[in-house]
Amino acid sequence: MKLPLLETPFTMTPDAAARDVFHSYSKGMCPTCRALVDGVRIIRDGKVYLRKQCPHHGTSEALISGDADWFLRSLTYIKEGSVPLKHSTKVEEGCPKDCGLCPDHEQHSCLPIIEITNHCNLECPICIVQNRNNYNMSAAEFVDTIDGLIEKEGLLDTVNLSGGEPTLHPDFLQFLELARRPQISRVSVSTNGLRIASDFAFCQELAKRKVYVNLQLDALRNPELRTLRGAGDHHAVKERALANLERAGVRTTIVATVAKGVNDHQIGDCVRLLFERDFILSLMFQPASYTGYGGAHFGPHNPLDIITIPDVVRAAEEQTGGLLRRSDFLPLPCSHPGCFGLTYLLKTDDGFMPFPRFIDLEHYLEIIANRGTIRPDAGFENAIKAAIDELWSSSGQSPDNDRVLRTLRKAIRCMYPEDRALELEERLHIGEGLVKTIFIHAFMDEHTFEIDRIKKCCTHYAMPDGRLMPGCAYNMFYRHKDPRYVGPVGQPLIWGKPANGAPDPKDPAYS
Amino acid sequence: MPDVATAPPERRFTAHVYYSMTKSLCGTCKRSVDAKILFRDDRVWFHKFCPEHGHQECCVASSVEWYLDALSFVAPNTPPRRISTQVSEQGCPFDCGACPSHQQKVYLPVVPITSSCNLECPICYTINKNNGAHFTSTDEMATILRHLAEDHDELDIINFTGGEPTLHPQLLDFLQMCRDAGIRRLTISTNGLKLRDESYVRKLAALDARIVLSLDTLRPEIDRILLGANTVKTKLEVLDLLEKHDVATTILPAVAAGVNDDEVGRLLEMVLSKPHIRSLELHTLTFTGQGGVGFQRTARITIPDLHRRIEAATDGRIGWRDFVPSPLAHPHCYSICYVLCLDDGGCVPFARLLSRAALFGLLEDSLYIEPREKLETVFRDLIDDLWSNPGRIAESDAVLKTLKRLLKDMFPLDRTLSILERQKIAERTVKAIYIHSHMDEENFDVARVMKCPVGVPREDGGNIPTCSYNVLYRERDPRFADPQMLKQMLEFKNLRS
Repeated sequence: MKLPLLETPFTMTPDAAARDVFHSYSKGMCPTCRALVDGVRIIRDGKVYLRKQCPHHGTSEALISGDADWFLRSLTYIKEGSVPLKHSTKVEEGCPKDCGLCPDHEQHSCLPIIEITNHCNLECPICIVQNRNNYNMSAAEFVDTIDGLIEKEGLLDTVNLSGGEPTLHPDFLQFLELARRPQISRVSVSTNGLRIASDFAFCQELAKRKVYVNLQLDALRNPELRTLRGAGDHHAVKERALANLERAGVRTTIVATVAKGVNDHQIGDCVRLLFERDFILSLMFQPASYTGYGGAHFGPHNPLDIITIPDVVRAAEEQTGGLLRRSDFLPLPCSHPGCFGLTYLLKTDDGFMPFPRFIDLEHYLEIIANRGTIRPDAGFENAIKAAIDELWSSSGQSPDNDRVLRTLRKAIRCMYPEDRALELEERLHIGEGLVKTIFIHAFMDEHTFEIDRIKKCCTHYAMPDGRLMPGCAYNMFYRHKDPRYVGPVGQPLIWGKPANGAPDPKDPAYS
Repeated sequence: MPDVATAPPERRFTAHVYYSMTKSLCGTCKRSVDAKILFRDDRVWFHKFCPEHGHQECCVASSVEWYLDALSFVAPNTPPRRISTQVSEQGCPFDCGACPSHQQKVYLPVVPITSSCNLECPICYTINKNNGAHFTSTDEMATILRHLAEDHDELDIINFTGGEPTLHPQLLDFLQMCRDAGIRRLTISTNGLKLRDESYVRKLAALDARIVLSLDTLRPEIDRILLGANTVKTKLEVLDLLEKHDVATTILPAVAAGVNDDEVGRLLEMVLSKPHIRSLELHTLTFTGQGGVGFQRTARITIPDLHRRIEAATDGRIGWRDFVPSPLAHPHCYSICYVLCLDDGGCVPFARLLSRAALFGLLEDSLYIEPREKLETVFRDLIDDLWSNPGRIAESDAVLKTLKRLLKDMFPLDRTLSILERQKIAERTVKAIYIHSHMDEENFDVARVMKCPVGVPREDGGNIPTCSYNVLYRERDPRFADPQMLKQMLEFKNLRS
């Protein structure tokens, strides 16, 4: 179904800018007792707030969008969802008590995450989960989880292994083997990089298996990293990890958690890192969410002054000297528009060119619709060809046009050669050399939680029992009672040492 | 590595697009339930789930474009001064009112002054009580007015309703009390049967009361379906009486799809041709209350359906883009069009003369445009604009002529008219079409209730948004709800579910 995009300006009464504007109802959460309560979205001073009324704890308010214009426009960047082949639960009590997925859920598991361990060798003040250090998934559970995913999804673009710190799992490499299934295009691993930094052979194993690494890297300097990740020489670890990944040829995504007042001035540096290193294919900003371990430990946190998706976009513009512009970013239409923002960048002979600058909005939305990662299928080919036609007709009007045109023609020649059809995987890899991506993914906490966003969540934790749990619903309502994690809390080995031990620079996990 | 023997099954897309969610009510037990707002087949649907009564769906708008367009109009809200209740576990709409969740103060108090009625309409969305009927006392009325005065710096308008308010023997006294309290627009929602009495009409005229006449159809056989009676002839006679005594009149049809929606054009024509008829207020039928719960659901109609009817009836002279929401209410509650009736015949919608934004701005102080200086400024700017750019609209000359005459009449050089006098003059030339969509339990949207500016005042100073009152609170008010009728309504519900 074709939707009218709200490209026309919003009509405001003359005094609307200066006053509170009630926008819509949204069911939220009382940050004190975690009960689901009535909330309203209020536009004030060009920002959007969620104001909630708890029968026991009164009014609470949280910033949910730092740019009302982005928020309002994002509401129509939506499209139909994709229905899983099977649902694990029935609709019985109503959202969010029937996860997951129940047939009332609005999106399939585009980004499934398997938490294979809850052990971690860091205790990050900003961590959004509460690691209990008492569980490693068994191989049988892992196979059940993968089977469950294939049963629900049919084909999967990506399966993500996470934790805890997944590389601590004793059978990690065996799991990578178990995840090699014809229905799964790629496996990615979310890691803090400690093992990557210290174990080059491990990196080679990852490269051999074509595993994608999502490396947590929030800043390029220790003061900021220590605030977010605790004591230690994080910077040295990240540098070593990057060097190892590059040397081993591992396709890498940088994942930067951005906390207001801590590292939000390093957004530009992260973008430059993406531009400079060929092996880094994408960059994921995650505005800090103050829940789990971090919710209890990270401070100061003012729910009215946090960084949101459009704030990251604004910072990216300000800190890259215009390499990126606000208009280069759009919400992801297949997720809830409040959850993701992104842009695709075309690598040209001299620098990166954001897609929205040369592809019309309609084709662009088509490319990014229903996937978080680029997929060089027929739709992609059509969009690129349409862009070529468009650029060709305006050829010579700007040097940018000709440069982009050259690159796109080359891309089409490489990815869709006339003499033979390439396998999707081959095209994918050619595409990865030409296109980089910047995502912004906002997780919710008790303050920003909205049932609305849960209903179309596409980031799901996959369970051995076959359930697929929308990420933020699991973190808010299910994680604390997950039967896998019951039992006494284990002793975390921070930097490989018992907790509270000072980090030892000679630690093998460290040096 | 096992091979995929056959092509893997493919996921299919949903037939709808998920837009957002709100909170609604179960159509059967009226408990609060989440409603997903879905776009499908270019219509907007509420998709609900009640743990006891299962999945339910209701069409809330027959055009996605209109639904989103309305939401693109943004206006600030003014929270009520008086908060009377606390938020409970159930939350909105069970804490009326106003509770701390309510976002808008009252701009239009609607006072039911009696539970008695002389009709029993199959479409009635109230619950009337004729045995031991309630009649608001003068003291109660005085208390309500005192609270309204406390809560408002000024009040433009008040509405009397019922039951049938003209059955109240003190209605004329109440009108005088309101007049004394400085309220300018005193409106009475009536079926008109009492207005056959010319002496009564004369008294109403003397008090400058305004009549909101329920007139759904000009066909007796349709009247029988909607009202269970034949009132057409009487109402037309009453309209003549109202014209004779120059009583400002609004025609209010409740519109039911497939029943009387084909008469919207004729009714509009009537409004535009009679100087004493100031506006057309179209109500989309609601399926709540003593009649509504049992009325055929095929009759459900939404605001865009009425836009289409008007567009067709006027050959596009009035289109849906000539309507804007009220800045004071939720954008999905009212759809408003003002037209300038030209002195030489014909009419032009304000939205084309000005802009939709300017029309929206004109409506930000009160539910109905007031003939104040703001309007004068807008008209004068329009004259300047048409002078310098006469080609902008086809009817430029006729518009200029009408506007100049109107300004001269409203703002004469030799004296200043009262706002009431100006209003009378303006309303003969400027007419309004209001589409007002009330809610029932099936299409209930707490977002709309939260920004509702239309409220039923209580004697204790509290206030209940009308749709909350109609759907949830009237039935708990023993003064108004007949217990026998409540039982009958429950049977209807049980039959349906």
